[in-house]
Amino acid sequence: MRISSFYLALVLGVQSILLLQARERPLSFVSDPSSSLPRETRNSLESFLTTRSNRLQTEVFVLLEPLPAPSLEEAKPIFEEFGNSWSEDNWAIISFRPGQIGAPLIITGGPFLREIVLETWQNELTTLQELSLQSWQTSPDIDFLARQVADSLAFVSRFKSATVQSLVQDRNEEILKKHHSDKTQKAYLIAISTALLLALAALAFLLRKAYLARKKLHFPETKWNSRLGAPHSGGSALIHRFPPPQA
Amino acid sequence: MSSSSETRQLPAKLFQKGVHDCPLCAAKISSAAASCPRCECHLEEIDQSLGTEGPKLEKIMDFAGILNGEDEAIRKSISTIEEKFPQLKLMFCSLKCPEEVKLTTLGWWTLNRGTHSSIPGWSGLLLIDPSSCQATFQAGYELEIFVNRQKLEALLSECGEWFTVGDWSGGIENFFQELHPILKSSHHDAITTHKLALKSLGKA
Repeated sequence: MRISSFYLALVLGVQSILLLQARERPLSFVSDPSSSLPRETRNSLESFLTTRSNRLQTEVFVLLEPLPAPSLEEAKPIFEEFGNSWSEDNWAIISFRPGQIGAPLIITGGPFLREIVLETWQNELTTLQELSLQSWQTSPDIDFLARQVADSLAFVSRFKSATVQSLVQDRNEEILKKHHSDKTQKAYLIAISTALLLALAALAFLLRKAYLARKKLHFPETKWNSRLGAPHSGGSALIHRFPPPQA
Repeated sequence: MSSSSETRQLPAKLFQKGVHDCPLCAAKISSAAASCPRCECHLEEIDQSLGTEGPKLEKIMDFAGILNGEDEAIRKSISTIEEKFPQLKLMFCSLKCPEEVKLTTLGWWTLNRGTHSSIPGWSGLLLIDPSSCQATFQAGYELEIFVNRQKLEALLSECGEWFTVGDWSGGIENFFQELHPILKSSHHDAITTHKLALKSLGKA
């Protein structure tokens, strides 16, 4: 039991040392210590991934080496830690141990993950994994997979950014349009209200004028005294003498 | 809309701003003088010389024939005023006044002894004697209260200029046309006074 415990501690210690070593960013995007890829393929892929990194800020690391953990599930968080420490941009790690059965492991990370629907992205990656297996060769087509992942990553991250920018622009235009529309509407409203008020005032004026023109005027009835024995008129008359008409 | 307070009769002196004078000697008399304190003028005395039956009073009475039938415009002007002021009855009369009778006396007698077709107190008569070159305006008891004497005097003077050039119908038409705004103004003043008086009475 003591010997077994010793070997277990030794294995764990060796793994820890390996983990510490693997956390350093690889010197190239394709890490293939066992030369499982043909040289030309590796160089071409390396060049492709470097270009993508420089132009589109998407870094795809291809690790063709043993997993840093006993199982795929255990390896995932470790790769996430690696990726986040290696790159500040959007990144992907494609891990495949030569001789492994099944599809390579693909882990992605970076700012774009916060802006996309993760489920859709995961489906995309699964599709790529399956496509990489549809080959007559005994091992998955790592070159195809790496290129596809790099393209998808670049596309998704840029598409999101473009969409957001476009949305913001559209939104701004919409706000501006709405602002102009509101302003025009307000101006029309003021103009119509003013015209209506003026028309109403004119109508009121005309109606009042018509009413006053038709209105009969009555003097107040009064109590008066008769004078000089006259029943109808007291004789307070005005008299004017004018020059005789000219012949 | 008329209430009892609005139709309430108020004393004439509330509205009247002018003075009363004798139609015979033009002396100032009180508003209820039984006869003139100076000449002792009384209608019955005038009746002795002019009779007790006056003419039938119509809108146009051109006894002197100065209009030559051109009375349509005058008739229209009078009708306009009467439509606006349904209480009023305005008339025009031209005649050659006997030398021994004063025109104001004749006008006064005509209004009192003539046959009226409406309430005599609201009658107004423009009387012109082309032979003596005189024009007078005589009003019934009720109309005289509201007529502004100064404005009427100015209007008669203005119309005299038309008569001087022989344009009788033009002058008479102008008289009634210009009388309209004078009556409107008088009506406005009277209504204001009436309201104020009723308000004061209501408070009292």
